[in-house]
Amino acid sequence: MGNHNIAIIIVWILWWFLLKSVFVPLGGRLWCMICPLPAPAEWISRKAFTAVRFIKKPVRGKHHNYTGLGLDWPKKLRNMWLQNIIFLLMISFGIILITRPVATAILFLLILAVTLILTFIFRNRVFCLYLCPVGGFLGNYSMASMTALRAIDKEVCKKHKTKCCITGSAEGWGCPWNRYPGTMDRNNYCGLCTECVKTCPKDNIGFFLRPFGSDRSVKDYAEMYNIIIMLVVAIAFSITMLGPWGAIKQAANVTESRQLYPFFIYIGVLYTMSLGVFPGIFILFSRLSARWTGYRGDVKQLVLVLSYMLIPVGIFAWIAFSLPSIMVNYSYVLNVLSDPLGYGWNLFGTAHVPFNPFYPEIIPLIQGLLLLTGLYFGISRVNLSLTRLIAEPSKRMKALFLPSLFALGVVNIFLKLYLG
Amino acid sequence: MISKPLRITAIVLLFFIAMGLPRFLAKKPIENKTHVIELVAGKYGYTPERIFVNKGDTVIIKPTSKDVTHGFRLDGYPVEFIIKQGGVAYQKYEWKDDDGKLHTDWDKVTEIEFTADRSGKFIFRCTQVCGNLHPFMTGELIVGPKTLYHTVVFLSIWVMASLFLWFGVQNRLFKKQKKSGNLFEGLPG
Repeated sequence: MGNHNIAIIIVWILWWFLLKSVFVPLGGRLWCMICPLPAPAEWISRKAFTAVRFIKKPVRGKHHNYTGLGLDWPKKLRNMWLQNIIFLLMISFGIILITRPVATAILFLLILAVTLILTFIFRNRVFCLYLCPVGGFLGNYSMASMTALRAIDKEVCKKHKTKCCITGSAEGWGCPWNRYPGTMDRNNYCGLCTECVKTCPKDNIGFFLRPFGSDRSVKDYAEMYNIIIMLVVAIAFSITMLGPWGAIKQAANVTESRQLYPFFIYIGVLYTMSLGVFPGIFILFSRLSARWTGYRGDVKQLVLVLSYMLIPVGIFAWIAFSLPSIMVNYSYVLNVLSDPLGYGWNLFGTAHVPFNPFYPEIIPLIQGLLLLTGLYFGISRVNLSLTRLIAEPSKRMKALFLPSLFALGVVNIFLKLYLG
Repeated sequence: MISKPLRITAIVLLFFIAMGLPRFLAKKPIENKTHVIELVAGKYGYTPERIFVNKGDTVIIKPTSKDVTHGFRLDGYPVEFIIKQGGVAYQKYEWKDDDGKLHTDWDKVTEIEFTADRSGKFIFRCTQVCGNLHPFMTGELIVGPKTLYHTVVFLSIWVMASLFLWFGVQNRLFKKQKKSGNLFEGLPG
């Protein structure tokens, strides 16, 4: 049963909570640095575990020879759309995934298989960049994180001819994420592998602490849709998993309930909300804001800037969603640590810690405070971003008003679910 | 143009209004009632899913299961019981022996009674592994007045209003954000 299985407990209770509440807000894509899933593929691609295989004559810009065809990912697919679709497909079976050990195992094996196949076709971490369903939101949410890997002095990078950070050197591999630290100003696609730290002969790469919500440029609609999809999925999961409605749980639990029509209605509503209704309302509000302020610039750019507001709201909403699972179910973590294989062991003396939720009656209050924090950071950070598009404060307030109402509305949906 | 001291005063005033208004508006019940709830537990939810009472009301739950054994544990209240088919339940109770050691026992009951003496939203959850979705089998006891919920809603409006008031005061938006500390500088080598 899922609540006694180590994979389910460690992955979907402990790891998920740590990912949302600690890794992402503090370290951005810190998980990508240590994620084991693409590791075998990367070892095969590099034909090495830790060694650096440096060749003097570069092959298509890199001083390395990779296994297989070593192609680059198609330019037209270098965006988040595939990740958005894969993520939606994955969470369609979300409640099954997190309660059936075999489903979690299949997911991991599938990811492993895909990375291994891709490694014979493409070079670099193409799965992580363009296909990983977790990587999509990790990238966007890492924009708000309190750390960043950046060039210390970009002038040093400009003058440096060989650009070892991209091409690689005897000290390290060329960036597997295809980033150039010399111009990198966002965390989105940096997996914190630190190859550039090893390769840079000028010691010009630093790991900086910074205020929450510092990267504020949403690049395109693919990223914006990912941000909104994450919000809608948080609402959907709050209703399905944390809510009291057994019929909705059974609709999502299609492999056990065998109720196809309710399942199709469930995912139909989910897809419509995340791809149609919520983005549609947000874009409408943003465009109305543009009209109201008489904005004469690129309206699409304004929409993207305003959409950043939903990143802090989303981060804190997901922390609020994940909190009950750890506060209520922490005892399962202690149980499986002592008896990981269900053989009746008691390695650390915690195998029989009884189910005893940790102050569950204060969970709604903490969730409320988290949501208010997300709202604060969302609105305040977007106000800073808007200064590069709208100089006049009164017009900036007008531009901010309707999207802020949208964010307020979303926060109140969560408040209704958690406290109402 | 509203001056800075006036904006700050408005922000502080709005905060106290947001905090105080829900309490002021919370309607006190005229008289406490007794609610008898025929609670049916089944994979993976309870019927009724939500129970609405007021603070001070007496709640009598008559539980039964329509399939397997389920549990019921109410957050914030010392109410826990096991639900079996046929309207049979076992209520948990704790007692101390002469040495002060705590013991747990179960009483066979057909109904469980308690007073909803704390207001707010309280989740009740299944404690007996009943199937795949057991961790998500929950229901809600909502004890009015919902002061906490209304307070947080008002605070969410206050956050937005305050930020808009504050933005009119702050003029340091055009300052370029300086790079913060490089953590690598502290590392040896």
